[in-house]
Amino acid sequence: MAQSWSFRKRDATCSDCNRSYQEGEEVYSLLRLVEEELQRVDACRSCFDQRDASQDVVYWRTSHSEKRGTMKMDFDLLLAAMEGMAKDEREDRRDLCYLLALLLVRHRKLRLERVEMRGNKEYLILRKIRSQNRFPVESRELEPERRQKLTGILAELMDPTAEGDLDSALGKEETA
Amino acid sequence: MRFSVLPLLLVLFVTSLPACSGPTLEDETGRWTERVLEPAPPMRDIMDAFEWSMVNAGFALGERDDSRHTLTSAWDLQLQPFRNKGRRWQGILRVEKNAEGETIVKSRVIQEKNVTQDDTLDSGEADWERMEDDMIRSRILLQHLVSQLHLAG
Repeated sequence: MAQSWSFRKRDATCSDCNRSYQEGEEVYSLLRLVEEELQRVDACRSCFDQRDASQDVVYWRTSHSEKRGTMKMDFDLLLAAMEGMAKDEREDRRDLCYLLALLLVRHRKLRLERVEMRGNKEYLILRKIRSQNRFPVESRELEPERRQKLTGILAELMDPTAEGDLDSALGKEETA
Repeated sequence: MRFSVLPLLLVLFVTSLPACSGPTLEDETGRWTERVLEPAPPMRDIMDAFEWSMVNAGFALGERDDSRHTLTSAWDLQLQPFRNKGRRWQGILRVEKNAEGETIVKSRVIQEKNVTQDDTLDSGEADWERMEDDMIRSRILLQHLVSQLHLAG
């Protein structure tokens, strides 16, 4: 699945079976972790149903449109993905969860209330805006290559059709 | 008796040099939180990230010193009606090279309490006394900085 996926642009075909989408057809966009590699896939309904769901990080549904130039992910969806991963003990999930938390703090969707040391690990204590519930996310020390790769994919996730950097992509998101 | 004023002027000039290069580095002795930046972005980008981080962490901007690669916030004031309960905090962010040649970013938050006995709610009457640095807030400040720097690449 998605052997030649381009992060730069969402194709008008299914990442898996390469079938061209029809106008208005349901498209499932999926972020998944395969052996510590974060992948993004846009699949038709049939291929989506046959996927290995244990690799899912988050997915969302949209419809294909030839006219629509961009497809953006909203912060609420990222927030939901991050909350789910916050309880996941797998190392690769923790890395991504930490970066998502930083992204959401940076864009003030999450409030960083304090930090706590638990043993030799540092945890961010976060709170959603307009909520009293707090939850911890482990602060991670990522290798530069891994961090750059993950953040690059996050940038594409925010606006997969954009050629610019994360700042420009996020700028468009906020003004949309 | 004849003597030259030149040596005296020279001594005065040399002793005044530190004052010319900015405030004394009293903040060197504090409790810093730090992190290695690898790869390091351009210095101007780091300094810009300092400003965003400081604001996001709840500090008003103070002095940006590009020559010392340091950003110091304004004092964040929290007056209280009782003696010793009023607080103020000042954040400092700095970038420098360590002994291994790596670029490191450092944060520190200075904390002081108001020990005045009179009008504890008047900032003009406040008498500030240094406390232990606020390590929690310093770590929060550094995380805000990481969010600026790590996600920009």
